[in-house]
Amino acid sequence: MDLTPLALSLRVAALATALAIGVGVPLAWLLARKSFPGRDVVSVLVVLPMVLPPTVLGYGLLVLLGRQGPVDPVIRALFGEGLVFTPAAAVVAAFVAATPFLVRAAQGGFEQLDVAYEEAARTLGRREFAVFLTVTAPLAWRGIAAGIALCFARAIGEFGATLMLAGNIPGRTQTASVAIYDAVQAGRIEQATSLALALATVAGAALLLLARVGRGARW
Amino acid sequence: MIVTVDVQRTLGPFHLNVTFAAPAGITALFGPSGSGKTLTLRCITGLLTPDGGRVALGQRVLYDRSAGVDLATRDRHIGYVFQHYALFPHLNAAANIGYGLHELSPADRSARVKELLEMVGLTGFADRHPQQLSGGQQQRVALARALAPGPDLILLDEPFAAIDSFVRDHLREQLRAIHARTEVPMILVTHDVDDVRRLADTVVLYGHGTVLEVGATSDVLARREAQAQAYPA
Repeated sequence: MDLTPLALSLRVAALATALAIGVGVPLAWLLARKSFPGRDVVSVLVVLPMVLPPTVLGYGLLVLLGRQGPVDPVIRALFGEGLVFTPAAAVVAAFVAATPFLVRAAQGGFEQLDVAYEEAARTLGRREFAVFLTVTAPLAWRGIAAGIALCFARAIGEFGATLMLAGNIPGRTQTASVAIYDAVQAGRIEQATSLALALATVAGAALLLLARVGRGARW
Repeated sequence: MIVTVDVQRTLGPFHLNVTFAAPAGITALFGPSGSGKTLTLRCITGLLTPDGGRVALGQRVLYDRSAGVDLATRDRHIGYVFQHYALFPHLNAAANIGYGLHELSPADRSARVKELLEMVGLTGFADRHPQQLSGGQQQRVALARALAPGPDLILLDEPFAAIDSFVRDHLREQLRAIHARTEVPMILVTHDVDDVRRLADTVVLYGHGTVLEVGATSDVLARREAQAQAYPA
């Protein structure tokens, strides 16, 4: 059995989740704690990828980041090549599709947290970032962890947007979900079955980990 | 050190407009629920920005709308004991108390924490988490935590409201003793006249968003009693 697509999926999902944590956690905190102009618009933009068909998402990314897209010159200046049909494109597609899950769950975690804890930390002389690291994040950990697990599970299963933006290049951009589609189309049922089982196992493991984190909390 | 407070703040339909000076000692903001006492504490500590006015601790201006001064809460050096204490549930008593001592070395920090635990009578409770402490013990950890960084002022929001009545007197005495020992001025919010009688040197009597009267506790309470006798309810 060729494990290349599965290995690529794991790498793509891990990178996309890491990016999602960097962008999504601060964003979730902002949405939960601050009021700013355009907050509702940001809130809608965050959720939109959850409700749009992945093909719309992929098409949108293609228009935005593709060869004729407005961002293409910036990408070429920075990396020397375009994004479309590269492994990085698979990461971008998974990131956009999966980050909303992280933001929603983490935002819920922050909203459930009594602001008095953060206020107490401020009266004790701590800076905002220290307050976040020592009080907010540990106390909202369950929401954040749930978000990370959901995000990873969604990222590893990403199909539609990935196919449109990264294509289906075996060994380069062919992730497990795309390889399954490819195998079914070509009648390679055995390969499709084993990859599908492997993918379900990995996503299931992420969700199991989430359930354990939820139970193992000390408060 | 005299704390001077002059703040205006509108919150929905509620208007807060209070002016008073609290001398050293214990000052009680006394009045019915919803009269703006907690709001005043929040303005003093900077957790809420007033619409206008001025707050100063002795010569140190914390907030002055017309001068454009508005110190961040972390720079005000004011300890705050929240109504439900807001002890960090993921930290034990010692770590709660040491939280504001982040600039000290670990050795100095643990020495200071030990000293504070002893002062509030909780030696031996360092490793307990907040949920393993009684209400009175939680209150004392919260007080120790607020005192730890050596603040210029301590604010206490209804410190005895969540305490069983039979330990309340004991805790009031302990608060007085801690005040005598640290000499940190304290402003406490209460709607219980017993808190005022037993703790406060000065009373600020609150009506609906305004200060009705400021004075020495004995004077203010005597006048109120005289009024109550002249105009029985």
